Amino acid sequence: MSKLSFRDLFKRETLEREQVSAPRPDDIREQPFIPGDPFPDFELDSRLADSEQAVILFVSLTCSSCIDLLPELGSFSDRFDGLLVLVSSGLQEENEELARYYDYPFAVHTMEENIYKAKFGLEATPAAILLEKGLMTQRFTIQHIGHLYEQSGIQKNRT
Amino acid sequence: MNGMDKQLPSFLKVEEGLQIGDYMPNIRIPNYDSLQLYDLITDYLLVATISTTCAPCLPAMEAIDALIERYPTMNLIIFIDTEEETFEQATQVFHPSARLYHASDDVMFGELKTRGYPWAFGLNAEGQIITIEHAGSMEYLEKLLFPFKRFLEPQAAFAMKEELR
Repeated sequence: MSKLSFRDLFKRETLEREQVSAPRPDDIREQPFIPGDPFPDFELDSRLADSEQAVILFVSLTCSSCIDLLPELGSFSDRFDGLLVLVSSGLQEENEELARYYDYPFAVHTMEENIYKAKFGLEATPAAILLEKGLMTQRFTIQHIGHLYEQSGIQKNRT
Repeated sequence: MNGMDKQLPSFLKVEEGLQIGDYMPNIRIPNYDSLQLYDLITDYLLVATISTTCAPCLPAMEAIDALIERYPTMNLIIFIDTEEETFEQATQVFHPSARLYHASDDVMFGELKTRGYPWAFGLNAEGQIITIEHAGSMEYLEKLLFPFKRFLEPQAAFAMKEELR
């Protein structure tokens, strides 16, 4: 009898469903973040290339830290002078409902978590990439809304 | 109309789950008549929750197994949600030191209050949660174990002494 492996414990469809495009954490880490490099996907929103400042946020609707962040994004958007774009792994209809529920004044794009993690080299959600005129300046996992404000260089309690 | 007036979409409702500082529920270990979670605590206990219905649990299993190989005396238990037959296979695939317990989704989410799969908790001697980590990589598992490493050192030192004899 051949030796079993961990892979043998999983049904093929389970792995196919999530791993076709899913990078392993090691693969993700192999993508170095180089400040000053152009954002790799201007097709996401063509305004990203020319905006003085932009923040692209990445959330998963199965991640409780992400869901905790969602009610705060409207206020963040009000205080942030640049372009804000939200990328969510929810279904298209969920993302539309989400934008309606919170009255988001910014665009919400739908993209599978595995795909955006691979494409943008993200290790975890919620995450953010900051741009200046289309060039990446920071990429980080958001610890809490205050962390997002700090990294974006704006005061959370500004009136 | 603001968000407070509207009904929160169901997909935005999440269980808060256990937080650092909370006490892990002292659940009855499934398939054991009188064994409870706290019976397994020594100076600490690491609890991992995994499922064979979750693809990220494949690299998590490999990472957990590598951690057990690195620290064979570590007090770690693994709750695994899977079919009966697959559970038996899992006991063959994991390192011989691995301590696997078969548990259903209902037990893990309903009783143990895990946040999902693959997830892991580090408990102190009183069952209080000291660390919570995604169990998907060796890096995260090392963070999970970090506050409890002092409990490993005497055993590791003893093992090293034994090796030198």
